[in-house]
Amino acid sequence: MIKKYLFNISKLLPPSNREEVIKEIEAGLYDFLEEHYGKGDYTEAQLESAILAMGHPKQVADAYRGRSSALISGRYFDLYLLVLKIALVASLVGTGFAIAIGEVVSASSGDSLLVSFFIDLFSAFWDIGLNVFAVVTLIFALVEYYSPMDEAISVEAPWDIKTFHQMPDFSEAVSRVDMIFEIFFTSVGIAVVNTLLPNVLSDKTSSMIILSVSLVMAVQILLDCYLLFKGNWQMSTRLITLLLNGISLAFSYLIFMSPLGIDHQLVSIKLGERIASGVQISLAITFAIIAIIIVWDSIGHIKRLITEGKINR
Amino acid sequence: MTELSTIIQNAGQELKRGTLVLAVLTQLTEPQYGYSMIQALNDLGIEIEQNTLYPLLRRLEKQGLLESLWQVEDNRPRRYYQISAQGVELKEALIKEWEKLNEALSKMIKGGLYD
Repeated sequence: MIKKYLFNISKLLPPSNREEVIKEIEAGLYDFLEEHYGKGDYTEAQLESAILAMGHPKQVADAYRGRSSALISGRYFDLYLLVLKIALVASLVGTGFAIAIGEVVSASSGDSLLVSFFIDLFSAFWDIGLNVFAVVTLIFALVEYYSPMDEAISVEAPWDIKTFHQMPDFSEAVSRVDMIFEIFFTSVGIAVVNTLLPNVLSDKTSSMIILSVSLVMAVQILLDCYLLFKGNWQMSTRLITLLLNGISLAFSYLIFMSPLGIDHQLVSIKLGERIASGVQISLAITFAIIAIIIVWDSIGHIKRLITEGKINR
Repeated sequence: MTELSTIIQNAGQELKRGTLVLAVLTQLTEPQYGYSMIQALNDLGIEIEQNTLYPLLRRLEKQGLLESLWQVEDNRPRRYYQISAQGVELKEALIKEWEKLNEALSKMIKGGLYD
């Protein structure tokens, strides 16, 4: 019961001091129990009395983090800073990479200057950096405003421990490192797609493909942020991931392998026949690597879904 | 609860809240853990809830006014707090402020009574 109560408080605390605050509250609960009921094992009713004396999880969490009128409160601020840093670094790396390739292509046609390269790079960094900052801030401000994970609780009204959220299954815990890598590489992907692809896709389809791919990647980043905050996988998030994997695989095929994607004639004109055939092989290898990663990830999720299904039955 | 009694209750809580830091600092010349503080304050007539005191102790420690130490007793951790040198300075300053305020308010209240 105590673990469930502490879990409900921890969900409302910022990750930076969550562990220590929870340790402190747990110590306080046991101090209360020891003072009132002595040492030893405690009954459910005794545990419940200690919890009721400590207060509603929301009230306790509010007392520790303080009420905030900031655009993004302490509850989300750590995650906001983390996502902002990753998205900024990744999009700048991606943009730099895409512009460098663009400059190499221009250089092969003999019309490049080092100065223009740095001007392009600086203006793209400024432009993308501001956009990323604005989008990430807007997303978190909306999450803060609507607080989807914070149901309306009246701490003054009588409350019952039975209404608390169940503890998650910790074998379903999200790997923080995996999520950070995924946000990083997806942000690099968005930058590359928006900077490099307009030069190599056929005009008819380019804007549609770029918009759709960017949207899918943005949804992926949103899902990763949600998982980082929640800390554990659920059936719904696994199903959304499978759906996104399927869409990503289809788009990868469309861009790298289909005639609607990268225009090989355009590449040949810009880079010459010999380099273009090398690029074609590289694209096929890239697609194969992406496909293997997506299929591997999807198999993992399907396995977990099947296991969960068997347990629930 | 009537509107007036709610206002009285809120004003009373507001008044007490302002004195809590001083009350806590006066009690921490010897190391104490959170729940023992609550009992000590309650015995002296200052009622304070756990979810008010624990975050307050944590905030005072962050400000350098308290020092804390985790100790394991009977296989479970317990956090002890004690006033720091900076906390002692603040306590002395607050006591002077309190005495001035008390004197001034006493005069005002007595004055009011004889109006």
